[in-house]
Amino acid sequence: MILAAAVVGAVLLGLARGGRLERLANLPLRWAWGALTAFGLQIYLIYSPEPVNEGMLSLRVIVLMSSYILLFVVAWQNSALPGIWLIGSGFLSNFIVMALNGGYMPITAEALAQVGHTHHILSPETGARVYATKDIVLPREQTLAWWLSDIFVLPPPFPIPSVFSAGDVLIALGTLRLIQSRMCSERNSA
Amino acid sequence: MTNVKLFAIKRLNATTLRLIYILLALLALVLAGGAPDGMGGF
Repeated sequence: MILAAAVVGAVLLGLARGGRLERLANLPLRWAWGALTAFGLQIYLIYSPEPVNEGMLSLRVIVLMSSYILLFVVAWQNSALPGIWLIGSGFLSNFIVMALNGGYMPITAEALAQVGHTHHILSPETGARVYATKDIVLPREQTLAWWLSDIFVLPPPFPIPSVFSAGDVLIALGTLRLIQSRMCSERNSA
Repeated sequence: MTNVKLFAIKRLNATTLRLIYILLALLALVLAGGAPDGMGGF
């Protein structure tokens, strides 16, 4: 939800700066179907999770990792667009830490407690899935490349309490750059 | 005049549809690539 808010915020900022939606509508986004397909694959995975991570060879993890491969292709196909390298770097950052930790994004139970989402943990075991996310609960000392995992906490009273990763920050910044440059550049007139 | 209005409506609809498509594709790209823990998943 926090990333969706970032997209909406970027569009509203563009409008406030005098940018035009028509220019955004003419964004030459290639392989958009790839992004929509990757998202569609992930919806099933996050809303029908197994209680505990079953490892890299489970069908769900293979599908999740494959969806990221598809996203890399989409980013590569659009490499000429401003901000896409930031977005792609965010994909890579998230992909690396997920691949190193069994195919899902590690998060600590403490971070989940800070945002009040502990009731989403599906099992008391280590490696438990978190409902409606790509996360698994791992202690910090058992997490490989911990600094790339979900470590940044926005607790209440922030309207959208969230825990996010460095990769998520890169994706949000890249999206902001992409939308601003498209909406506010005179060269991209509709 | 009527033809001009009809053309304007068609043009608006095409642009609006294209905008919705681009916004949905961008949302899909961002949400599928990100991995935060937040309200409503993604």
